[in-house]
Amino acid sequence: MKYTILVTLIVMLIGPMLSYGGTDKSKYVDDFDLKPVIFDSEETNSSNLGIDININGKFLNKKFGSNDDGDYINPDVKIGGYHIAYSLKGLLAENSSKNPKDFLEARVSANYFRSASATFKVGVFVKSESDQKFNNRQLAYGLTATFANDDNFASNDILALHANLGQVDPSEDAAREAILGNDLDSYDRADLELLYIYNIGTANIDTFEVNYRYFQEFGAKQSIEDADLDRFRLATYRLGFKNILYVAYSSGELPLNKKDNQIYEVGFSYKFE
Amino acid sequence: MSNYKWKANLCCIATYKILEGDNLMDQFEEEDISFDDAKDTKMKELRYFPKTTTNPDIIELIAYEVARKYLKLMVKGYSVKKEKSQTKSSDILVLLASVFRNKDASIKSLAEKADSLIKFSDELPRG
Repeated sequence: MKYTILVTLIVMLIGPMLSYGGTDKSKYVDDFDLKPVIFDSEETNSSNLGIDININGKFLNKKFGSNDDGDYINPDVKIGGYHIAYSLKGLLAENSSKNPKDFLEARVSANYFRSASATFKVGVFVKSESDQKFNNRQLAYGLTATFANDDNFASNDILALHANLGQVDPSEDAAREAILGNDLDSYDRADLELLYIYNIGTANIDTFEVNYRYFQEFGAKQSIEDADLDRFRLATYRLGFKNILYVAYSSGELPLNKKDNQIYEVGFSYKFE
Repeated sequence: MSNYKWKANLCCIATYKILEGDNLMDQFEEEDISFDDAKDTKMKELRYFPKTTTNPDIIELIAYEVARKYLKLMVKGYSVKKEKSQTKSSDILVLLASVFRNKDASIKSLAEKADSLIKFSDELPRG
């Protein structure tokens, strides 16, 4: 308990210093965050310390819209564009065997973007996935699409969907090799991420947020299905209260991290004046 | 460091009211974040900003949706014009979206960006 309190205090003090950003970022960097986190999972008897990594940005970022000289501002203007995007994200834990989200992703994509009544982008991607010790690694590439819209079912709600369809090269996936031996052919996989934010806005409760990630291998061998390596899902439910207090619950597992975890989070932020 | 001052001019007031209004963007409550406190409030503290994902594609597209709503409410509720007539409406939207996309940007920086692109009635010459 004392260790947990001490670690929590350390995280509160040094956490803000490790987030580079603000409004003066490089034009090629949108986020550069190395955020200390504390988590408890079903499998651990104590709190664990980790670093949440989120680094991303764009190159060759072009946007275009119709010319409309004159003083009037048209908020319904349609916008198109294209860019090359990169991202690196994942959770590093002090003890990799207790990392409930042991899934690092490094990705580059080329995208076409359009914003009108809703906003979407489509493109191609290549991505490296691994656990934090790089014992299990795989390369994925294919097509990607993202969609977002507000005011769907309720005022100011947010709905977003991100989907990928492509091939995975599992030639360095040790867990898969243990089952299939040297028969590590590439396979087809679809994955999606669904996000929904409902704006509650009552006296005490701010938002309810759901995030669902799903990975499905197509045409998996029976041995892969028997080992439950053909399908992965992770669902997160978060209730946000006033004063940045929240509770969150996650259940499921991600690829390369065959641990069915249930993660409980209770959190708050304090603004230092 | 920006020299822009958060004050009771039309741009800042409009930004605050649009973000706070229950029938507008409803991103926080006035009793939680006062007009004076709003200048330091970050985008990541507002209700629209995702807390369960860091997917940059999702966050970018959501930013465009909320930026468009903010701009629509600004045009509808206040007598505004472009700061410079040769500026495209699409450029205004892209620049506002870049603020909404940045979790560390403040409401003051949103007002600053809006003020640089949009002319409000209190900026027009009298007479």
